[in-house]
Amino acid sequence: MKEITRNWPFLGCLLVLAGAGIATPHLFGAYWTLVALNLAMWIALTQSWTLFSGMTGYISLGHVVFYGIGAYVVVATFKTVPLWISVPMGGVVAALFALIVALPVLRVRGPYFVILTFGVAELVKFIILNIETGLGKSSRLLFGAPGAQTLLYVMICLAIAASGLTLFAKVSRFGRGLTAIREDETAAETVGIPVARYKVIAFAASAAIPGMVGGLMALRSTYFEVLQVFNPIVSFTIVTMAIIGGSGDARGPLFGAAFMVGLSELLWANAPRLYMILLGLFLVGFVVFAPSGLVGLLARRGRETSA
Amino acid sequence: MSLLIADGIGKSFGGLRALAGVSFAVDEGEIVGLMGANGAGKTTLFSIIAGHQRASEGAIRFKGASISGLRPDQVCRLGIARTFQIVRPFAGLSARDNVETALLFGGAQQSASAKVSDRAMEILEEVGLVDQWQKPAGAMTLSGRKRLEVARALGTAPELLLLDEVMAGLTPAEVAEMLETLRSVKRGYNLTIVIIEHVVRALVELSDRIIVLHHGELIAEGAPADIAKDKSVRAVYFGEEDA
Repeated sequence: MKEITRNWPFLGCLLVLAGAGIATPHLFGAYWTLVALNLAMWIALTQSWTLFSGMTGYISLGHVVFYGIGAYVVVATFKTVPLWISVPMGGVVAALFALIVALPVLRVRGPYFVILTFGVAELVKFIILNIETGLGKSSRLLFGAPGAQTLLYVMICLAIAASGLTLFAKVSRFGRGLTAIREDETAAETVGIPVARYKVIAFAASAAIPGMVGGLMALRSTYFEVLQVFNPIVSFTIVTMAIIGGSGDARGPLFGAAFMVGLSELLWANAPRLYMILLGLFLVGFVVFAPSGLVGLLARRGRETSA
Repeated sequence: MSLLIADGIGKSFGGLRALAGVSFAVDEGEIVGLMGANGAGKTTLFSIIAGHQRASEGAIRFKGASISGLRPDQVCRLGIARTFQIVRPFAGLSARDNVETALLFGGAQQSASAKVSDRAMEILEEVGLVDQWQKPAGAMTLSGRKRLEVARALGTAPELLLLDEVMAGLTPAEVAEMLETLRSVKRGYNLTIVIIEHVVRALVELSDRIIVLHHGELIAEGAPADIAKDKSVRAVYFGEEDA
């Protein structure tokens, strides 16, 4: 508990963001409600990714698969299962899927793991595409989905839950185990850490919330198209935000997501090509010059001014 | 009573036999030295005892029960700790965090976080690293990292300590310090130790008994003084003809 309260700046920041998000529909109208929804979504996704990849060093380049699975569960059961069941169910199914693929997938490390996660996501994408084609549905429309404000509030809950989970993982014994696995897996098992079990649990935990996020975003777009929902750009964006945020703990995703959503708001409408170019430049720039991301830069700045 | 028994341990990597029919026992409180040229199978034997590799033949018994087939983390929690010849610290973590991780997960399974920090500092004190507790393990000297290997192994609250060349690459002064450290932790923790070492003088000085491996087979076993006179050992080490 002491470790949790020591993170009061982070918790305060999270509360202010949540408050601003809740007030947005009332104060700033429909457009900013969608921006807030977008921000909450990326925070939830990037936090979940950090919980596994940031802590263990296993870089997943396929997190969109959990998002897509959650979306598909909600869409496939739309109007037959109530949303308050189907959205959490999307998270459960995504986590179960993570459990099933974890054992084979987590046997490999480094670049092989990165490629494999990407491959698994593409594989699932094309399997579901074939199922949908077999069912004669190239895309689905969802009529009567809840409004943006409701979705925003649920999404804020998910963003807080994901942030809390990552924060908890960092300060807990579980997180100490994951960090040891990142540093040296063989040494980790030699000091008594059940590495296989820890990796599988972290992988499943990092899949659950993206599954629910995917379900919500399917409701938001009221339209389901497999290639769009399983778009690998989602995975790339998550990793980019995590790198730009930096830190490998719960602080990074807040900065990374806020920075990139802000950037896209500034540029997307006026100069979409510039946005993609800048995105690439920022990614390269951060990896080369500031590998510890915005959090690292701010921490250094803080030390310099206090010194 | 024998704490550890190796019973006919064999290990093959494809067509290569790394170990064949190695049997020995280690009594409680003993220090047993493991000697042999490079490739004799010493580290493979450690890996099999610690659960990192599985024996092709034979069984390992610890405190009377078979531990063959257990995972390294399970072996660790039963009370066997090992260090690595090529050191494997958690490089990005401080010395204290390295030891704390062992305390949290090893046989001790300590949970109260304040106690864990205090305990980690005590252990660092014992191995002579207490003034470097904040240092990332990756930034330490080789001597420091070898000591940290020992500290982390102690953190898991072992009864049996497997030390794999903790003195290799150290200066004579550092070797002397390490010997002193090992003697004092052995007393303090009531440990049984199996030690692999190429610094023969250190091995002879420290061990109660020495086991010699050659091409995966146990060729001699006895008190350090007798090992030095043993014909087969002399033949292997100095190329002397059998008389």
